[in-house]
Amino acid sequence: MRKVVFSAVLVLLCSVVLASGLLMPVVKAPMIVTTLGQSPGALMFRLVCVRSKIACVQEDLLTATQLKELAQAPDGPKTLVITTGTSLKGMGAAGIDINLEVERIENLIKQAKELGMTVIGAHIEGMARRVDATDEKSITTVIPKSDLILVIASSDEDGYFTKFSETSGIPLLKVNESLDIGPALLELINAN
Amino acid sequence: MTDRNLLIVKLVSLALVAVALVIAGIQFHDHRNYQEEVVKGPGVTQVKKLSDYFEPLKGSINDCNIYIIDSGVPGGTAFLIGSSHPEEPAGNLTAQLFVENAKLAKGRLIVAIRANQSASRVSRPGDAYPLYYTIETPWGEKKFRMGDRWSSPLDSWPDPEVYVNYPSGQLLAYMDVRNFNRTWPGRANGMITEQTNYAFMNVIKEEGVDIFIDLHEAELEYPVISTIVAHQKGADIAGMASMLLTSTEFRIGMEYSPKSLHGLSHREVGDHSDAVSILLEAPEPFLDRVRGITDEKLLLTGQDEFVVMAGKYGLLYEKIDEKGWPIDVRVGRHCSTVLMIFELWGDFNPGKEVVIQQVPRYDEVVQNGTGYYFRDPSKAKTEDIYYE
Repeated sequence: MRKVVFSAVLVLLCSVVLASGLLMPVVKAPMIVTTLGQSPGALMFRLVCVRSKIACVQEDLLTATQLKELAQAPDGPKTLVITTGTSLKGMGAAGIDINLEVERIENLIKQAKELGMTVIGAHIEGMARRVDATDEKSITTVIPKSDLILVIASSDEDGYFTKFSETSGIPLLKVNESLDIGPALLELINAN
Repeated sequence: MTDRNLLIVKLVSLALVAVALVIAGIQFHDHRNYQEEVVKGPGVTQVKKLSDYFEPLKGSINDCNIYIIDSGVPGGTAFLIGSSHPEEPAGNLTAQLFVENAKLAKGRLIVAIRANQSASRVSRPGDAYPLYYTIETPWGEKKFRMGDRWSSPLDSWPDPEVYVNYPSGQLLAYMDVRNFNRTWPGRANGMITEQTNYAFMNVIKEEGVDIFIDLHEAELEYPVISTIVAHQKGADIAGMASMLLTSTEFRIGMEYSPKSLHGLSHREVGDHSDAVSILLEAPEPFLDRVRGITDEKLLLTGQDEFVVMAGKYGLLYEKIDEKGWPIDVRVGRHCSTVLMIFELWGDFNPGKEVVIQQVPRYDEVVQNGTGYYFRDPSKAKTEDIYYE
């Protein structure tokens, strides 16, 4: 197990790619992560934060009201992360559909902007979460309103996020694997 | 045609039908009664029967073997089952590979190779399923029964108009009363498949199982493929396993078990016991509806030009090319995923570790072939041979 973890850390340290030359936004911890589409992306984001000792709370059904309350606490979140890509099993488990998810996340982003939080739109589960209309809806709801786009290489096989970053001017943070996310975020946090 | 000639035609037709019935009947009988040999591995400390946990199953077709591999060192207890759906052979092959090879340094591992024996003793002639498949080994070919998704109607009949899962009350398709992965957590006085699930729940409770893994395969047209489906209790382990495996061995996703979808192992085992429940899906092009010739070659190579064509039109949820998805790749994925999950289970639960040795990982299975890891029954002691 240690060998696997060591290898993974070694790979990730060597593999962080800042694909965009655009100015990175201020990224601060603690973070709060939610998902548009109830895929396990938010769970994975929290796990990589735990590994990199970045304070992060996962709230899959976070609402704008909850975010406001949490952000006003002394150790409240400074950065909102929204993972994109959908899971029919996940949405079924939560008893919701894509339209409710879009409405929740639009309100959440609006609230985060009012609170002055940095919003990171993430796609970290690869092309498997870019297969249908609900995935597309999830991505197009979040990514254009983000301050930073975070993707893994396999999510950007067709260059979709790279092209979007270039045309929109939203900086892109692209890493090889999901396990590379923690160290890449630490670099950004420490750069502040 | 004269009455005499018409009578001759009828008699000849009757005779031909009778011959076909006899030939088919013999084949079905042989398939249903074919016994697969399992050589007890060096780690197996006890072999029990499922009926030891639920007496009414004694002597029934679903009274399968329960293999226990006990390190003798305190730790956790893991339970691995194959052949929930016997048309998904990577499941039973992986489970048998564990039984014939695994040694434990800590904790206990319990394995059922053919969880639903009844479904493994009926094929699907209407879909042109082969009756058997063979795996190459260093000592010759090893033959296995190809099975179906549902228990045999010979063992469970009639089906209800609508199957009502117990105790959730959820309505499911009529034939799912014979679907081992729709009848969890089972029912003591239900049909035989429900009784089998009930018996497995007794194993989980009586043996104090901490983590339960159900091995499956899926068609590439199905969104839940190449993935780990986890009960919420096991979400962190599954999520981390997905990331580590994707980073080091092969891409595998993760899905939450839907709380409102009942009858499946990843939901009910977790809800009705203390165990964490996880289900693994590997890609099996044989199951795709757009497949071409349905034969043993397709089952074992996973190569099919029509499925590849479907992929080119964006109709699939997993990649495929002319190399297909060979059985060694699918078994290798299951081996590595199971090992990774157990490793993480130990990391997340100190004192409850299940440390498994001598089971190959993905690269080794792909390089050596699944058959390399099966023991030769002709060289084993009689008392070390069990039958599935």
